[in-house]
Amino acid sequence: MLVLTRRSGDSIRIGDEITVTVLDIRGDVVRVGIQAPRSVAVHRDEVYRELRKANEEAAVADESAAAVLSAALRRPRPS
Amino acid sequence: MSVLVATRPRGGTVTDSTTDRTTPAIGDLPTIEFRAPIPGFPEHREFVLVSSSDDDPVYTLVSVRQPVLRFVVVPPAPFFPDYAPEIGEQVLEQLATTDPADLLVLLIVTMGDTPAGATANLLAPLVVSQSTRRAVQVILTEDLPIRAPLLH
Repeated sequence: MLVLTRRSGDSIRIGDEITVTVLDIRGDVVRVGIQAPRSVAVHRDEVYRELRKANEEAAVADESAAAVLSAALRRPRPS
Repeated sequence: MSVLVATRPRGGTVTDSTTDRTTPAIGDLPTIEFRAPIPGFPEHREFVLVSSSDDDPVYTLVSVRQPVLRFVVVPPAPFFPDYAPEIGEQVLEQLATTDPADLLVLLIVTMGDTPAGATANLLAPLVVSQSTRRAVQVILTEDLPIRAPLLH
């Protein structure tokens, strides 16, 4: 991993189109600004990981999954 | 629901006469193209949306490349009537559409051990343009659950 030391207000450029700027540092909290083309998705890592995990769990649906769920929806719901 | 959905009996198959192999009949269905991969599935960009009948709110999103990869998806309205995700300009741009009415929102369902345990992902809906047939999975900035019980 490339490690760089930056001060508040300094930036890092990644490739031609992505700039990461350290906006503010307070204690152990760092605010970071990211400028990237719209085609580049930027997410908090933990959110992205959680989404990937949820997608992977959802993808194991077998062929009858939709039919099973439809049938359950047609049954009156327990109140 | 829309022009994107192919209605056919579940389990419908075609036999490829050259190989004599039976595969799910997805080749002739309208293909949805994901402009960015669904997180976790970078190899799969093209899907088809299949429904068993017009009045069934449960759909299956099947990978063209590998039909064993499939997601159960539902429109939010029957299950979460108050759900109104804010779709930004950036998403419209990715989908090459300008008309919000053109958008179809679908939620990915994770099947539990029983149907009662099924959950829907409200944080990251699939947004599809019905005119351009492009789609993206949008991670909303709102505070929404990634696993919301479907039969609540």
